[in-house]
Amino acid sequence: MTGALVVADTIEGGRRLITVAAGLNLPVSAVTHDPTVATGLTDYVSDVVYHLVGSSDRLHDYYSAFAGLVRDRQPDLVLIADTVPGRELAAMSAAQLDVALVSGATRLVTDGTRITATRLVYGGSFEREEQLGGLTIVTVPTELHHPAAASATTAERVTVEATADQRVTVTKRATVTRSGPDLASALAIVGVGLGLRHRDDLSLADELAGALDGAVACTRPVAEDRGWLPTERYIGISGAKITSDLYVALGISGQTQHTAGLRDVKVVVAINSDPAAPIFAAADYGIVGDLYQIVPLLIQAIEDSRHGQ
Amino acid sequence: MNIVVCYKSALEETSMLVSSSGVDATRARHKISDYDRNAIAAGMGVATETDRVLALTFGGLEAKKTAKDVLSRGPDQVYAVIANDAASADGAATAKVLAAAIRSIGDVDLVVCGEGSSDSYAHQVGPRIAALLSMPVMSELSEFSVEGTAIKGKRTVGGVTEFLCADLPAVATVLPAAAEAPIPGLKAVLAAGKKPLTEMTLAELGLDATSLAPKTSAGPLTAVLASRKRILFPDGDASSQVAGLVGALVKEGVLR
Ligand SMILES: Cc1cc2nc3c(=O)[nH]c(=O)nc-3n(C[C@H](O)[C@H](O)[C@H](O)COP(=O)(O)OP(=O)(O)OC[C@H]3O[C@@H](n4cnc5c(N)ncnc54)[C@H](O)[C@@H]3O)c2cc1C
Repeated sequence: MTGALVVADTIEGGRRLITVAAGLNLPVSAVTHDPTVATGLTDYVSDVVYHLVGSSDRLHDYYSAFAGLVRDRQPDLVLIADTVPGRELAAMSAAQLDVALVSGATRLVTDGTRITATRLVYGGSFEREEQLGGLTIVTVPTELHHPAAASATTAERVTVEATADQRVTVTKRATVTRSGPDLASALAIVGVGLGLRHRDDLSLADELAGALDGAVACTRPVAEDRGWLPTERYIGISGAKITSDLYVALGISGQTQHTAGLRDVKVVVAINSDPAAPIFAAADYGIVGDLYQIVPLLIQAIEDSRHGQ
Repeated sequence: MNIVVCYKSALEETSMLVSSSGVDATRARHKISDYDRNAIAAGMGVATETDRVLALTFGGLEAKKTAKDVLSRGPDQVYAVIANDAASADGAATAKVLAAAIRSIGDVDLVVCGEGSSDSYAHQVGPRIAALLSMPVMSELSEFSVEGTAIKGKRTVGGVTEFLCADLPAVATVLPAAAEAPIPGLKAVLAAGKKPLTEMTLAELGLDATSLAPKTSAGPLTAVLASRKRILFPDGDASSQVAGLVGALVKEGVLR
C-alpha cells in the first residue's frame, strides 16, 4: 500500500487526520476498532477502512494487531491523534515494528518524494525539522486541522479479527467534562493561570467568556495541580493547541510550554500584574494590572461596545 | 522487589544561547529532565523498606554529572549506559538501550519513567520499553500505587478519568502530579556520595551503534519567536486602559 493509514477512534478525529494526509497528496486508508466510526469514515476515506474486531473497547489495546496490519499493508505514513491513548498506541506499535515515531508534529510537508515533519522541542523554546526515512508513525494534534469533507468515492470496508492486550484493566471511569463550547471550535478563549486566587474566582473568567461568546481554558498547573478545570481544558505543549480568533490570558506568566499552544491564535491579549511577565512578549495587546480590577471593567466595556455605546 | 526509574540528563533550555546563526548549546548546563525528578520521587514513593530502587540512564559522559543529584533523591544505585553519540539517539534507540539494561539488571518488577523529557518531550520511551520487554504499560498517570503484586493508576483521557490496574511486572509513566520532587536536603546529598554508580557500555548489553542510528534525519534547532504586536496600554487609569484594549479588539475584528 502506498499512502497514509489514519488511526481513528472518533469520526471527527479521523476526518481531521484525513485532512493532514490529503495535504501530503496521499491516498488514505483508515483503521478503527469502533463499528460506528468504521461505517462513518467510509464516506471520507478514499481507499480502505479496516475495522479491528476484538474483545476490547480501547483502541490502544490492539497495538499488536495494529502493528501486524501496518507490517502487512506497508503504508508510507501512519497518522495518529496526539492524545494519551494515541501516544500509547503509537509508541507500542512503533517499538514492535522498529520504526520511527515523530510525536506531536505541528507541520507536515512534502516535496513530492520526502516528507518533513516539524515539532517543538525544549518546552516550545525551539523547533526542529525531521525528514522522514521509511515507514514512520507520526502523532498529530488534531485540533490544528479541519475535518475533511466527504471523498468522491466510498471506501471499501474490511474486517480484521484482532487480539487485544488486556493486561491493563479499567476498574472505573468518571466523567470530568465541563459544559461550554469546546476549545477546538471556540472563536474566543479566556485562559486562567495561577494568578487566579480561588476556585470560585473562575466565575470571573466564565463571565468574560460569556461576554465574548467563548470558552474557558487554563494553564497546566491550574488543571493538574489545582484540579480547578478538567485537564482537557489546559493549553500548551502538552495540552490543547488552539486556533481561536482571540485568546485572553488572565494571570498567566507565559512560559513557552504554555504559549506553544497559542501559535495559531489570531490575537492574544494578556492581563498580568507583573510587567516583566513573559506573556507580554507573546501577546498582541497587554494590560499590566490586577486581573480582579481589570476583568470586571473589561466585561462592562465589551458589553457597552456590543450595544453600540 | 526491584524498581527501576529511568531518567535523562537534558540540556537546561534557558542556558542555550540564541543568535542569528542559530542555537548554541555548547556551554549549556545539564539537569535531570524536569519530569524525571517526579518519576524518581514516584518510584521512591511506592518503594517499601525491602525494595531496591535503581535509577537508570542512557547518555554521553555528561550523564554521570547528574548521578549524584539523582542518588540524593533516594535511589540505592545509579546504572549509567554511556555512549559517545547518545545525544543523537532517538526514542527507538533509547528504549532499546534501556530495555537491554533492564534485562541485564534482572528481576525488575516495576519500571517508572517520566511522561516525557524536557528536551524532546516525545512521550515514547516508556511505552516502547514496555513493548520491548513485553510488559503492560500505564502511561501518563497522575497517581499510582503498588498493592501486593498489582499496580494501580489514575489518569485522565480527554474528559474521562480512568482508574487502571495491572499485574506486575509493568511500566508506568508519570505526570508531575504523581509525586512532588523537593530539593534534597543536606543529609541526603551527603549520603548520595557513598552510593554506587555502575557504568555500562553498549557492547556489554550486546548492542552496537549502527542498530541505534536515528531513523529520521533531524535538522538544526531554530528558535521559536512569537511574532506578536506587543502593544501595552500603560497610561492612565484602568478604565482608559480597558477602553483602549476594547477599541483595538474591535479594529482587529475579533469582537462580535
Ligand atoms: C515538560 C513540561 C511541559 C509543560 N507543559 C505545559 C503545558 O502544556 N501548558 C502549560 O500551561 N504549562 C505547561 N508546563 C508548565 C509551565 O512551565 C509553567 O509552569 C506554567 O505554564 C505556569 O502556569 P501559570 O502561568 O498559571 O502560573 P505562574 O507561572 O505561577 O504564573 C502566574 C502569573 O499570574 C500573575 N498574577 C498573580 N496575581 C495576579 C493578579 N491578581 N492579576 C494579574 N496577574 C496576576 C503573576 O504575575 C504570574 O505571572 C510544562 C512544564 C514542563 C516542564
